[in-house]
Amino acid sequence: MWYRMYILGEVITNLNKNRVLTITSIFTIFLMLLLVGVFGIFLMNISYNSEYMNDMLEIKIFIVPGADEYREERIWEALVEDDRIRHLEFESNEQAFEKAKEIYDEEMLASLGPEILPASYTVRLKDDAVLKDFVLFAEGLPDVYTVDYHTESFEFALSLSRWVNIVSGGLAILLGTLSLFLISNTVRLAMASRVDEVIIMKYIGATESRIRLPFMLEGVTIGFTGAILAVLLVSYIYNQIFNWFITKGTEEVFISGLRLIGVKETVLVVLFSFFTLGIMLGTFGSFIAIRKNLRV
Amino acid sequence: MINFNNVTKVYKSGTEALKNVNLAIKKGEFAFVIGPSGSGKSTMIKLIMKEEEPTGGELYVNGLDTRDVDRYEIPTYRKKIGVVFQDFKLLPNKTAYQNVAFALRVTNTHGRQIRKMVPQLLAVVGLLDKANDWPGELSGGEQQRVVIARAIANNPDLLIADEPTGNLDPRTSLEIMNLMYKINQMGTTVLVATHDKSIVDTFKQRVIVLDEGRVTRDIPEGRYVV
Repeated sequence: MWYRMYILGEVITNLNKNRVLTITSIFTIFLMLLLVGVFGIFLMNISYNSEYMNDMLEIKIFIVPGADEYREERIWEALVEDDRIRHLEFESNEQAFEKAKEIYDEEMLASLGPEILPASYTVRLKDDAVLKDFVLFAEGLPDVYTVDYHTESFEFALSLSRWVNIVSGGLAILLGTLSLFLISNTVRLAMASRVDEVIIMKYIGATESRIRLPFMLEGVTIGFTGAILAVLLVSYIYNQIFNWFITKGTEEVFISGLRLIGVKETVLVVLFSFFTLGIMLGTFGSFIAIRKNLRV
Repeated sequence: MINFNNVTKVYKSGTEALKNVNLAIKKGEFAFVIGPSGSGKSTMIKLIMKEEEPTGGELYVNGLDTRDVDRYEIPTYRKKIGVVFQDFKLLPNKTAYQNVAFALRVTNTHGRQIRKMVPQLLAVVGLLDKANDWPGELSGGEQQRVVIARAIANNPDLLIADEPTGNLDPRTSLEIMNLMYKINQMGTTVLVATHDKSIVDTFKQRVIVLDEGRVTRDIPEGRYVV
């Protein structure tokens, strides 16, 4: 017990002695985790909403105008057996005309009839990777007039998440390396200031782990403190964003089809990953310094 | 207790610190190792402490070939050897009591045992009344006494002192050597590396003379001759 208290005291004293470097190390870890957290939560939400984004990817298969029910049925049969399709819906030319009336001026359409619009099938795929193949297949079906699909918003979301992944990954690696460097320097300074103690322990017959433990704990304390700060700030920010969504949306936090992951689930993930990352960085930073500078 | 069998030590830099040293120190013996700077005294101590490895020959300490002592066994090996430094190496932020207790704590001695042993150790070195003094409040001789108390805390079989009187006046040096002699009389083997002629001449113990890495003389009950 005494020894544990003694080590704890030594850790705090040494971190305080090299205050500037300690604070810089904590701040770098904090910054890195903050970045990982913000981008990570963004990516988590993109993945959470992937089904919704999938729904944005609709394929419209238009049937040649004037095709009879038999020809429409033939296309239906070809599509209904296709196991790439998740959702299939038929829209007659009458239904299309009714929809058009909601959009366009009724006077403009008064002299026209439903026959000017083609009937269509709306298709949603199980896997968007087969999109191009499916469009080629649909275009090749008899009596298909044209196949239309809008991938812009979907592709935008995908490319955004890809870029977020790359940029946040790059920045996290950069800040992670920087924090490792700073932690190992903080621990190295601590070792330099306690060189006599290390020599004494070494000659007295203290085990390697006993000698190294306080230095390892210094790195872990830095990582842990950085993680606490990052968890607090990220949780606060996410809670604010979530509450803002609640006031704007329904009880399901539904805005234009977008949903957010609940605060509790997010905070749990952030808590676990930040502490793991922070402690890992702290331990590894100390390990580098000890390996390089402490010969027991 | 200690057997150097044709021991050679060549450092990476190419310096040949010890050359074919043959030496035997018996259990319970008191011996001085003397010689000019660079003669190999410190290397001899480093080899005994297993801080360095011989590049040739065999070194036995307490019946163990030092080459057979694995890395994880070094702490247990070193617990049986007490070390006294010239520059004391007391922890300045700890009292005399805490400095001695520190040696016991880092070697996993139980708290109750520590509370019992530390006053006894301080009494052996005659510093019980200064237990709560900080190193800065103690004289050079008193600081070295604390170091000796710390060195014998784990009841070592061997006590090694590297220039223990180097920073002390002649009278205090004599007191320190008397203390080490007292410890030797209690059964501990004592090996003292020193430049201090008067001490060697006063105590008339075994003198091992090193010069350029070789044992040039080994005199029982000898005097300081280089």
